[in-house]
Amino acid sequence: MREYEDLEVHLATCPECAADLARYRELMSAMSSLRDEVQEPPVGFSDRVALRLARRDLRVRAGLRRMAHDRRTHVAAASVGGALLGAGAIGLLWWRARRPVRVA
Amino acid sequence: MVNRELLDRCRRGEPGAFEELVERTQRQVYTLAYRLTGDRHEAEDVAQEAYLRAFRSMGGFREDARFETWLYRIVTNAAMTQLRRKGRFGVLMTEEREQRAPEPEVRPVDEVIERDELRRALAGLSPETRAIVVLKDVYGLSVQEIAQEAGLTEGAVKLRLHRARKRLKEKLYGAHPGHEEIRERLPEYVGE
Repeated sequence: MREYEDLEVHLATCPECAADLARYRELMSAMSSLRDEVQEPPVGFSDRVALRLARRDLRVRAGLRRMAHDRRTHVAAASVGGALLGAGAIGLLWWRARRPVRVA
Repeated sequence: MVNRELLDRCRRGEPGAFEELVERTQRQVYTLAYRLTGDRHEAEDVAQEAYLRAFRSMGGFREDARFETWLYRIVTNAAMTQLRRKGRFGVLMTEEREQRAPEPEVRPVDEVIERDELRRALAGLSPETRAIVVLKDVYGLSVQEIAQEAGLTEGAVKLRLHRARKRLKEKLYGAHPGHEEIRERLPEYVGE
């Protein structure tokens, strides 16, 4: 607080620093006024963005299509399916073995 | 301005929705990219890249932030990546390598700064320094946000900001004999 008061006193008594403060404020005001100013993008900009998005979309689809037709994907899918079936069967056998036998 | 309805349409992947979003925001996005890079071609690359990233991460946008602010952060990030890739960001680009324009005569304090003059003064700063001062003083990002985007410490951002403002004042007003230790405290004095 004291330091702030000292600064205020200095700015009130030193014309050079007071001018510096005025310049600082002027600069800040000029900088923030730039926010309202916009540059026009080059002609066709939005079309080029759309084109890049479309290309990216095509690449993703092509990648998925490649995966769907790749033999390795089929083998991997069959392996995962087989493993899941095996695990299910083992689980079922274990569950049946643990079931208490009812005596009539 | 992007409204909620348009955002929902984009998230659902409705045909033409993202194109409409580009159409509505392209001026602001391109302007920021241009201010950060200082070059029209690079600005277009950055703006395009930003839209691709925004498209990919639309699902990650949280409604508690303004969409434009979110988009500006993506543009900033894309610009930083571009500047870094081209070696125009980081320790190599320090104040000594900034273009030195001839100093103007000392001008009266109450003379209004013309926008063209300010643009020229900004263009004379290094890309790194310019990016930091533009993000802070034009777009109002916090020092912490800039530090995150630029991969710098908050102290490093404050130092660059101080140097940038000093250089801008010198370019616009000429050398002035105020006290350095007082000058360093002016942001705090005006409540920043």
